[in-house]
Amino acid sequence: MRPEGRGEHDSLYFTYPQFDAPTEASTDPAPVVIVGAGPIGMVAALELARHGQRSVLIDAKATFNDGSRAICIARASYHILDRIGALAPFLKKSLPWTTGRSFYRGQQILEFAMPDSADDRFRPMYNLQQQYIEQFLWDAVAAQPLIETRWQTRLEGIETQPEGAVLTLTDPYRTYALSARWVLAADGARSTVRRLMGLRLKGENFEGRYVIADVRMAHDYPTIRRALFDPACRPGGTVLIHRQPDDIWRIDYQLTEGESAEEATREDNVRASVQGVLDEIGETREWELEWWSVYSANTLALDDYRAGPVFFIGDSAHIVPIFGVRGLNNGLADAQNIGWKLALVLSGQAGEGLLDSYTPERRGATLDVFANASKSARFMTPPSFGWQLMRDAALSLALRFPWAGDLANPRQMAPYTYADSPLTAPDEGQTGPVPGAMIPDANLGDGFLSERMGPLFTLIAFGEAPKVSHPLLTVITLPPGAAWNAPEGAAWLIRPDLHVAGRWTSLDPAAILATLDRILERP
Amino acid sequence: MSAEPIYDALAAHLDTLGEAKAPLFLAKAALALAQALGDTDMALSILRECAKNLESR
Ligand SMILES: Cc1cc2nc3c(=O)[nH]c(=O)nc-3n(C[C@H](O)[C@H](O)[C@H](O)COP(=O)(O)OP(=O)(O)OC[C@H]3O[C@@H](n4cnc5c(N)ncnc54)[C@H](O)[C@@H]3O)c2cc1C
Repeated sequence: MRPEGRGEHDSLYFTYPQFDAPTEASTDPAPVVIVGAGPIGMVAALELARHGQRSVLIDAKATFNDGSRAICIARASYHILDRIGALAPFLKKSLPWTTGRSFYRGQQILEFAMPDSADDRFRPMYNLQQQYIEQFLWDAVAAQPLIETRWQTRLEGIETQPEGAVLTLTDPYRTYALSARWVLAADGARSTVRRLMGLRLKGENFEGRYVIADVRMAHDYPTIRRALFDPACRPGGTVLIHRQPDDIWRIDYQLTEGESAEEATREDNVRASVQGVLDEIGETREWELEWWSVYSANTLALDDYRAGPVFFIGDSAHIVPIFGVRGLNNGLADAQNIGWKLALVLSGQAGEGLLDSYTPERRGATLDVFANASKSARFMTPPSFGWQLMRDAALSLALRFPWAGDLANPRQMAPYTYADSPLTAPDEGQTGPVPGAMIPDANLGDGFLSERMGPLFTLIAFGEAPKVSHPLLTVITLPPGAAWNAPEGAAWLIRPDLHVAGRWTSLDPAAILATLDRILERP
Repeated sequence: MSAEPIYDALAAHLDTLGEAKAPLFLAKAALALAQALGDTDMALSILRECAKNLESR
């Protein structure tokens, strides 16, 4: 929502582009149709294109999503942006951060730093408004001839069979049918594809509801996430404050049980609440209201992220609470995961069985987010008498004992390890990243390990150069100890998404090729 | 160690704080004492024991 007199896309600092509907719309069958050109749909299209695969990307709207929405992009997501070739504008515009501060009744009880080191090419977290995220992804999509985007094109029907789907699409000029071998449903939390296919998100609803409000105010407070527990301006509630580029501050505040969302989102109430928070943190400067919305802390997911030829990616598959900042980041990993797998199947380099690993890997990641987010949610918005009392006890203790402050540590974001995935080989290594884990980056002196990775699979061998060759494999040889304390002879097989497929203490070319074949030759 | 000084101190604190603040005070005390105990299993087992025999008559 925007202040009185301003339209939905009337931002103080961002000009929303206006995209025309296609004048002509080909009805030639498409290998992949991606429904929804939000951040997740665009990343999926870019990952497919990176591996040479065409897609048709449709979106009902004529511009980007309104408002700043998801503003925290995690390190793992920067690796995804790097792999799809979209990184540069993100690095230039976003604000990196490592530190969070928590306050209880005005007193600081905790300062935490997320893990970061000279081996990391990227910082743990970057703040950037979602419309910039979409703008920068769109710039990459528009420059990519393998992606055909159709704006103002709404999916209104879908018929599926095991070997493909027929979509009914409507734009301002026509309604037409388009066949697709595969469909990626990236159409967001209110997914039309999900509804038309009779599928439902399942899970718990948490009571916590937040108003998220952006204000513009010149300021110099560093990019540090602040969490205010039980502040004077909202007794019993929780407030989060984030800095964004362009002098924009994000203020999230929890609604109390009796408060109606309708009342709370009235402009005068938002203004009063924002002023209360700014007074509390001692800000006296002038500010302008930019945008606001309501977000609730849900944990909901589909039982299966695949239905025949349709894969659900991003918010269409799962809705997670805001505290772990996993909504967007989790979706970006979905898009990359299905992107490389589908590309290999489409090019005939892998069997369709490879796609069966999508749900266990990515739904597993969502359930892991739920477990962590539920923990944070219980702290941020205690659901019952017991949790409320213990949370208050911890905060009250934290004023005197640092160990209690640690209970308020949100522990954001570690990429999920695909330990139980059918693609993950039995562990035959000793040091460094385990099978299924995303590899930590390493500073090699003349650049980072992540910059040396091949386009598909990469074998990292420590010591002598191995005699292994495969058309999908890039081989990197490093001196022992150059990364991960790896000893002479150790080897890792890394997937296109930088997760470990297998690791060995001594390099056996046959074992490595067999692991690669097991991934690719899944009927 | 005699339990008596702790017993007396808890009673005195509870009387000073009153019923409304008692739950929060006791929750803080339990958490802090368990932390000082430094033995998670022992603390959890004591909590389980304390949850017994609470029926009013
Ligand atoms: C108001 C709001 C506030 C949010 N705040 C936060 C936050 O603070 N932190 C956070 O981490 N996340 C937040 N999120 C969630 C975050 O925005 C999403 O996780 C993120 O946008 C990724 O979503 P997506 O690409 O899967 O879907 P979306 O960004 O929702 O994109 C879906 C796209 O599909 C298109 N579409 C839908 N139906 C059709 C159809 N039938 N035919 C064609 N196109 C269709 C839509 O036009 C849209 O462009 C917020 C979301 C909302 C709505």
